[in-house]
Amino acid sequence: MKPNARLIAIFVVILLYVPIVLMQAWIDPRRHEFEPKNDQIGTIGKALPIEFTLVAAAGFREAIAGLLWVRTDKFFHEGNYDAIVPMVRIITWLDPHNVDVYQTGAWHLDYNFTDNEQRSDRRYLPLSVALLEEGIQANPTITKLYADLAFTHYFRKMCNYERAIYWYRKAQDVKETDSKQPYSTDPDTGKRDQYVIDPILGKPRPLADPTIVGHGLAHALQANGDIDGAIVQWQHCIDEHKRLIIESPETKYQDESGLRVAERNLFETIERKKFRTVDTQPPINLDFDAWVVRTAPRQFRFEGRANFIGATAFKLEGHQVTWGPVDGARIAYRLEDDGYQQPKELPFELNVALPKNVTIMQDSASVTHGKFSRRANLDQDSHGDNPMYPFKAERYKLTFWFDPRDPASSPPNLGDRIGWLGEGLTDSKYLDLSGKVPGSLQGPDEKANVRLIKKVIYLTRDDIMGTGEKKFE
Amino acid sequence: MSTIWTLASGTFGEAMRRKILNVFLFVAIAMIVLFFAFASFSPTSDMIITMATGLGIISMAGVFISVILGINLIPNEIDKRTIYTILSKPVKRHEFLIGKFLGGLATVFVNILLMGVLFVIGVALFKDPHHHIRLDILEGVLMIFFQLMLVNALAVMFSVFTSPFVNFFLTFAVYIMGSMSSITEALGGESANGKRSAVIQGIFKAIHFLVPNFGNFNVQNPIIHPDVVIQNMAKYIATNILYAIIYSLIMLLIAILVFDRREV
Amino acid sequence: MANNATQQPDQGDAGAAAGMTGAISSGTNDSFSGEYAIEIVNLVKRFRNLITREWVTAVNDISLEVKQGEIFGFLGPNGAGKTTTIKALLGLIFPDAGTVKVLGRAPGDNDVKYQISYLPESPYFYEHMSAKEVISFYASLFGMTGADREKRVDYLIDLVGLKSAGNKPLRAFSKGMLQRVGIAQSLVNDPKVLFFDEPTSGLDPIAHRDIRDLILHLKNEGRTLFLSSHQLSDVEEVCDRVSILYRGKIRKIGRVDDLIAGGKVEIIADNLKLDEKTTAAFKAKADEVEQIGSRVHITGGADNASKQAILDIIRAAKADIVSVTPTRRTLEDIFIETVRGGEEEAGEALHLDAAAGS
Repeated sequence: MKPNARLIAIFVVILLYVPIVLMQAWIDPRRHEFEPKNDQIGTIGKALPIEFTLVAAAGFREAIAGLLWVRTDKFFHEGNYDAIVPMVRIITWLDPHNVDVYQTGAWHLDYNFTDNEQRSDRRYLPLSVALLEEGIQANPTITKLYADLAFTHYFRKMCNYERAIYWYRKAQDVKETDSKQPYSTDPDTGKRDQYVIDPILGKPRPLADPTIVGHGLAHALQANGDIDGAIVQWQHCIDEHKRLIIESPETKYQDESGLRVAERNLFETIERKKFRTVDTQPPINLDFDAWVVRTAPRQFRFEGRANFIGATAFKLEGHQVTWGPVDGARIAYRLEDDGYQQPKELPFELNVALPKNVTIMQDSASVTHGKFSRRANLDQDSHGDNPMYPFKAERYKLTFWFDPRDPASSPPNLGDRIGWLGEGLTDSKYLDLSGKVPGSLQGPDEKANVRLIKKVIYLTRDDIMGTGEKKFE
Repeated sequence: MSTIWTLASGTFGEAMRRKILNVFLFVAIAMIVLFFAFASFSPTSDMIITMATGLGIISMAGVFISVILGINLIPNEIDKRTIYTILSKPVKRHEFLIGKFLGGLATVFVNILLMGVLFVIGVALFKDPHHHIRLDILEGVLMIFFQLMLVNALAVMFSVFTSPFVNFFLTFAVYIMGSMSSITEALGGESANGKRSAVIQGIFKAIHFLVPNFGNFNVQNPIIHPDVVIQNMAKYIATNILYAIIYSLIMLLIAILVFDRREV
Repeated sequence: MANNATQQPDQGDAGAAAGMTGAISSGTNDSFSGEYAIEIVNLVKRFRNLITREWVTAVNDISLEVKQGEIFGFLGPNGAGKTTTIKALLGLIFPDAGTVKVLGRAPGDNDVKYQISYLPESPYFYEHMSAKEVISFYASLFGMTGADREKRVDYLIDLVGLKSAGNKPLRAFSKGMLQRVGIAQSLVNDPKVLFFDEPTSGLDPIAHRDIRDLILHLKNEGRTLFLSSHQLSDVEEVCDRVSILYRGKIRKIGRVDDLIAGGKVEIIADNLKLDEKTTAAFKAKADEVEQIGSRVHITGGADNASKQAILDIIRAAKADIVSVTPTRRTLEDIFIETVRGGEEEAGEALHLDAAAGS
C-alpha cells in the first residue's frame, strides 16, 4: 500500500466512527424498548448476583427472567409471599415484555396474598395497580393488561368504576395498526404508520377483544350509572362480534358465544332502563344496622340487618311481581387503623415501602332473610414476624357499607328494585351521599355518584384484645 | 474480486472441516435437552424459556465459533506456511485478509443458520402446540449473525498483531464489554445521586460509543414475546445491520493497515 | 527454449520428469529484458527474539545477482538466513537495509508475482482439498477459470506424477507427494523465476531423485531458479553458480566449476621407499602421505610449483610415478571449509539456531 493510500485509509477509519457514534445515539433509546431502562440497570445489578447479571447481559436476559419467574411460582405455592414482590420487580426489569408476569403478578397481589381465612391482604392493591400501569406503559398494545387493570378497579376490590372505564376505553383505543400486522404503506409518503381503514367499520380496527374489553366496559359503564353508554357499548360489542365471526373463523365459536351474551345483555339493559326508572320508586327503607361482637381476643362476629325483604315484591312494567326473598346482597366491612389513608398508588420498587404495622381487614357477608353474620378469626394472622393484622394502633375504625353499584354486592334482581345507583333505597340513619367508597383507590377529589349505606364504629385496642364476648355498635 | 472469492471459499472449506463441528454437536445436545427440560413449566413459561435459551445458545455457540475461527484465520496460515504460497501469487495483502475474513464469516453463517433451522424445527415439533414453523426465529438468528460478523472482524483485527492466545482473551473481553451496552450507557450518564465524576462518565461514554456495542443485537425479545410490538422494529434491525457492517469495515481497515506492514 | 507441447507427459514417477520438457513452457512472459532476474544489494534483516528480546541479524549485508536463465544455488546450514533472504525477495518481509529486486522491480509487486513462484520448505496445503483442487485453487489466484484452468491443472498433475492420486484428499498424502503438489503449484503460472526452498529435504530417495530431475528439466527450459538447499549433491549437479551463506553472510560465491577447481592432486608412486629423508621432504611439500600396499599416495597442492616439487622428490628417490590425478573438491568440502571458517571468525561453536526466521 502506498503511503498516500495508507493516510486515506486511516482517515476513512476515523471518519467511519462518525456514523458509528451517530447510529449508537439513535439505537440507545430504542434499545430500551426491549431492555431495562437506564435507571433500572444499577438496581438490577444490586439485586442479582453478578454471574446472573453477566449472563443476562450476554443475551440470556429473557431466559434468566423466565427461570426466575418459574422460581417465583414456586415461592407462591410455598406461601413465601415476601419473596414474590422483589422477584416480580427484577423479572419485569429484566424482561419488560413478559406479559404473563404483569398479569399473574398483579393477580397475586390482588387476590392471592391472603390470611388464613382467604381474605386478601389489601395493602398490596396499590402495588398491583402500579405493576399493571408499568406493564401497560411497556406493552401499550397488549389490551389484556388494560383489561386486567380495569377489572382490578371494577371488581369487588375497589369499586372505582371511573378508573375501570378509563382503562377499558384506553384498551379500546388500541388499534390494530398500533400492532405489528398488517402494515399498510402510503404510496405517496411511503410511510408505514397509516391506519388500515376497515371497509366495514370505516375506521381502524380495534385490537381489543370484544369480550374481555368490550363486555367489561359495558359492565363498568352500567355500574357507574351510565346506562345509555352501556347500551351503546353492548351494541358496539355485537357489531364487533359479528365482524369477527366473518373475519376470524378460527375464533368463531368464541365470538358466537360472546355475541349471544351481548345480545341478551343489550336486551336486558334496555328493558331494565325502562322499568328501573319507575319500579324503583318510592325508595325502600333498608332499616340498616350493623355491629361487631368480639368473641375472643382478635376474634369477631360481624353482624347486622338490612331489610332487603322489602324488595321481594315490586311492580314490573306496571304489574305487581313477586320474586321471592331477595338474598345475595352483600354487606362489606373494613377494619383498619383509625386515620389510616390508603395510598392511591405505591411505586413498585425492589424494596417496596409497604405500610407495615398497619392493620387492614376487609370482607363481606351475605344477607339472608334480612340478616347477616360472619365470623372472623384474626388472631391466627396477628403473630410472628410481619403479621397481616398486627393490631399496633390504639384506635380502629370499622366501616360497614352497602354499595348498590357493586355487581358482587348487589345482584341484578336486587338492582331492579333499588336502581342502578341506589335510587330505590334509603335509610333513616345510614344513607351516605359522600361518594367515598371505603377501600377504593380514589384520588382526593374523586367522588362516586352513588347512594351508599354506611355505618362506622370505632374500637380501641383494648376492645379488640379483650377477652369475653362483647358487642360493639 | 475473484481472488477474494477463491480465498474465501478455500477458507470456508478448510474451516468447515475443522473441529467447529464439535461446537455444533454441543449445541445440538443442548437444544435436545432444552426441548425436554422445561416441559414441567406452564406452557407460556416453557415457550419463553425455550425461545430465550435457544437463541442464547445459538448466540453463545456462534460467539465461540467466531472467536476461535477469527483468532486463528491468519495465524494458522502463517504457522502452516500456506500464506507464503498464496502471497507469492498475485494476491494483494488486503485481498488475502478480506478473503480469509469472508471465508470465516461464511463458516459462521452456515453454522448458525443450521443451528437456527434445527431450532425452528425443534420448536415446531416439540414446543409449539400447533406445530407452527416459527420463521421469525430466523430473524433473531440473522441479528446474531451480524453480531458475529462484528465479533469475527474484531478477532481478525486483533489477530494481525497478537497471538491467538492473547487474542482469545482480548476478543472475549471486548465482546463482554460490548455486550453490556446498557451498563456502559447507564454509567456514561448522570448517576441518580449525582456522585459520578465527569471523568468516569466521560470514560464510560467513550467506551459506550467506541467499543463495538454487541448488546445492540440482542433483539430476541420480540421473538420470545410475539404479541409485543416494538415500534419501528424494521428500522431498528436495519440500523443495527448497518452498524455491524460499518464497524466491521473499520476493523478490517485497521487490520489491513497493520497487516500491510506486517512480516509473515 | 524448447517448445514441445505436443509431447504428452508419461504417467508414473520416472516418466514425469522426462515428459515435462516443454510441456510447461506454454507462454513465458518475456516483458523483462534486463540482465539480472534477481538483484540483492547490501541486504540486512534483523529479527527480535521474542523470548530474550535480543536482536538477531539473520541476513547481514549480502549482495548478489542472479542472471536470467541461471540456476543459482543458495547454500547454507539451517539458520544461515536462506529463507529470510527468499522471503525478502518475495516481499513477505521487509529489508532493514539494502534493496532487493526481482525482474527489475520491488518485491511484492503484483506484476512480478505473475512471473515468479515460490515453493516453501515442507509446504502445507488445505488438507480438505484434493491435489487437483489445490492446484485449481492456486490457478484461480492467477485469474484462470473454466476449461483453461482445468487443462492446466491436469497437465501439472500429470507432470508431477500424481495423476492416479489427483482426486485424493491431501490428508492421505506422503511428504514426497505433498512436495510434488508443491512443485505443481509453483508451475501453475509458467513462471520465469522460481524460488525453491529446500525442495528435497526429508524426501525418500525415489522422490528425491524425481524432484532433482524436475529441477534439471526446469533448468533446460531456461527458467531462472533460485534454489535454497543444504542438499549439496543436488546443487552441485544442477546449479550454474552457488553461494554459501553462513550466519547471515555470504562466505563464498562463484561458478560451481570454479569453486570445485583449485583443488589438490593425488600422486601415486611405486617403488618408493619412505626413508627419513624422503619423509621429511614430503612433509615440507605435500599435505598427506600414505602408504597403501606397495604404493604411496601423496596428496598436495594442485598448483604447478607444489606438484613439481612433489614429483621432484619422487624422481630424486628414483621411484616410479604411477599416476598424477587432480582431485575435484566436492561442494561438501567447500561447504565444510567455509562453515569452519565462519566458525573461527565467530570464535564459537557452530550454532544452528542462532538466526531466527529461516
